[in-house]
Amino acid sequence: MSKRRPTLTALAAGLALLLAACSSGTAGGEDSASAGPTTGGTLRVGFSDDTGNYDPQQRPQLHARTISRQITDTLTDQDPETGEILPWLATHWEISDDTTQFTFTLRDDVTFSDGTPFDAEVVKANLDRVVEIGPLAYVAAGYLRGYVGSEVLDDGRVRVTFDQPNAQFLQATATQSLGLLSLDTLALSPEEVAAGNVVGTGPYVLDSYVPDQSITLTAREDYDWGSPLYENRGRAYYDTVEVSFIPEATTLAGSLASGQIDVAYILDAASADTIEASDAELVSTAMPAISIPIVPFVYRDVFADEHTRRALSLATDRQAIVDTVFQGRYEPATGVLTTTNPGYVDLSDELTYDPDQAETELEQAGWTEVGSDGIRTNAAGERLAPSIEYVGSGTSTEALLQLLQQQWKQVGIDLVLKPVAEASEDALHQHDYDLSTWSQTRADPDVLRTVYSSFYENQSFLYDNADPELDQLLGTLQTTVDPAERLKVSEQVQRLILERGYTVPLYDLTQYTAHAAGVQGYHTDIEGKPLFVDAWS
Amino acid sequence: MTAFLLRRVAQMVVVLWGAITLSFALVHLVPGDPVRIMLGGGSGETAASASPEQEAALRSQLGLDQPLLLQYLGFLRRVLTGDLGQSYSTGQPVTASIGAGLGSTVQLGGTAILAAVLLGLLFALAGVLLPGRAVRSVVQSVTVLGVAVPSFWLAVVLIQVFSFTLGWFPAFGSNGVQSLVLPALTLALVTAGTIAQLLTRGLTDALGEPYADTARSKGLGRSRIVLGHALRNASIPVLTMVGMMVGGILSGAVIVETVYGRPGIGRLFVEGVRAHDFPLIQALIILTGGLFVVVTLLVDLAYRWVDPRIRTGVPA
Repeated sequence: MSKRRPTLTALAAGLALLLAACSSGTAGGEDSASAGPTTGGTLRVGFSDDTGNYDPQQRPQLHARTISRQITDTLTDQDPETGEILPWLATHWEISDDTTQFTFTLRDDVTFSDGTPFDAEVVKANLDRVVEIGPLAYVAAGYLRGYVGSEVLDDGRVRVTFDQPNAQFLQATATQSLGLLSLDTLALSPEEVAAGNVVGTGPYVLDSYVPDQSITLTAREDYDWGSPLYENRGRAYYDTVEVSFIPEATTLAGSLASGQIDVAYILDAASADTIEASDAELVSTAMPAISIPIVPFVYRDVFADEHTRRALSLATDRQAIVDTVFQGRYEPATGVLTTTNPGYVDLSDELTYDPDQAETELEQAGWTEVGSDGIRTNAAGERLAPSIEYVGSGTSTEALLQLLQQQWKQVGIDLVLKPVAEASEDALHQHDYDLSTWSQTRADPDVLRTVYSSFYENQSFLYDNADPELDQLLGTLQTTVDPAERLKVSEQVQRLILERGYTVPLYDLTQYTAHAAGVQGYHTDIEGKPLFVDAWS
Repeated sequence: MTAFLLRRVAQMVVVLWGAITLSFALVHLVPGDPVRIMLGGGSGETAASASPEQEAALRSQLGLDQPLLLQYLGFLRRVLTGDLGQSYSTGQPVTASIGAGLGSTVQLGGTAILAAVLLGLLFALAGVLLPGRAVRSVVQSVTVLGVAVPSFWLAVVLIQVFSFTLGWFPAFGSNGVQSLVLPALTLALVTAGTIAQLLTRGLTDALGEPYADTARSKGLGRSRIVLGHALRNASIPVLTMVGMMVGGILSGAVIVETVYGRPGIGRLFVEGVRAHDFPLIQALIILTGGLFVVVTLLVDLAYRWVDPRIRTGVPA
């Protein structure tokens, strides 16, 4: 049984699992580290999901975006540390004072993998196409709201015009949703592009895609215009990246631990233990997003009074939630946005656990009587029993809500759990429940507008109760370009949201990936997507 | 025989029509608006950024703004012409997705059925023919394990031992025979237990029949009686079992293909349900219905071949 070395290694990995040994160092990869990056070989990657549509401009799922990241480039890139927008295929840009016009100056040495040049005409064609396929590219099209058109000034300069201020557009040019495709790709139908017929300017070329089975990427020999965030601006080190789809979390983690793959992309929090007990290295990325919240619906009678809404946050022990439900692997929320969102402001003083104050707020809201079951009632005899609909019995969401139920009961709130088979996609206000939980990832404070504004009435917790002050601030966010100024507006928005009890931020989502000890240079972008161009073994 | 076949084919058509109608009703019965699902869904992103105009455009493109009856007739017409629509999540024709997955599932299912029948036969014969009552009863009780173990647990144990620890077989993928071993075994072991039990019972019963006494009185040995006479009679319930196994394999494939990361019909089911991909789910319902009908017919025809009394209508 022990004739072959791989068998021994695998056996060792298995034993390590059984013994739950402490996490080991990087002994496996140290020898080659001194020799510097080597070129060649195949990187074997396991993906937890095949999201099916590989057109970067269409549906915005993480796994597909990760592939797009390797095969397409964008006008700008965004620094994961600072959130700053950096020049990439656009060397610089000018923004008109009213933030309706963006003029980009482009690199002149970039080509697509089919040999065609990258120029102003291509940028225009890409933006036009996003608007044209509209609903299919709804996220990208949302970034281009009010798009009037693009004007080709010369080969190297293009001016994009909107009919309203659009400050978030600059950050949008750093997202995969505006990944740049060749003219031939744009001429295909959206279905053909979705099936993997994608030609970009990236360090890798999409060679083949077999649904539910594999994606093969091959390095582009003449690549020479990497993002300022890449260590390696030239040809990728690995010749080939072979992606397999492994949906079951234990199989994915076990395959990495036993050396059958080199990279596992997205692991659940529970598999993190398996990885830590093996030679492989766990990589965590705090996602730039909104902190995962519980949001009370202002249009429901029970939450009409802001004292009641504020009491929810005061009655919530975030640390206990993170420790109990997520084995301490996520961080408790310290604001409305996560710490890695460029619009983040530390508001932990506003998010304290204070059951006494919660009870005071509830008294002020008129929930003065306490029944024999410990639940408060008001003068009209109504019980304080808000309900929440959620998907996923037996999931961590349910465990979280059960814990919340216990915590809120201490101050006299009866949280009623209503598990449903699937999320309703209808207008929120047509449904008979009072709270919801949401998530939304984007490395820009504009994500606040998507979640907390009343602009999209059918999905808004402020249905029929629009808050003009909030909406005005969110509008200002849309027109403010200067980062410092933007952060100031972002802070005002977040303070207002907490002050009026519009949200109960709970925790910041962390995304886990992992790589074998022998893989060097592995790092991720601002959304936790691995950048294979810098990896080598 | 012709009358029998005609009657059966007519029944098949009715059942299929039922499956098609059910799959149409699905879209309209389950909560959730397909248009919003297409625009939203996946990775926790909300559909908040789609405008009402975008929604309306997509709704009329999908024909969802037409009266229900028109939608139904249109759906029937498209199904009859083999056009089952495009997947919401991939934009590809669902027939293409299913065509790509079917080969892999058929390979997996075929291997699993073969392995289950062989293993079942082996254990049943061992349980009847091995010398010594004690040995036989041990073999027979082992088969109970096969029936009792859930396939998800079995899959995880097999993968832990034979892939992660011993490294004999890959944990995922569908390249070559090696990658077929663990998934097929997972599906086969569960059914092999049932087949072995049925067959053992059938053989034991058959050995008590008058014809077995007659054979014994002619001086035939136990193994000759079992192999030459009893096995044919005891195999009728096994045939039924194999027919049912096709259904079991389709539902088992949901688990096995997910755990072992294999492409296939089971995986498509999971993805379709998770992504609320109605065209894909509809096509899978119709496919499963069709498969069941065909397999049931084949099993019925096989009865007549194994036991001529069924064919001629002579009472047993």
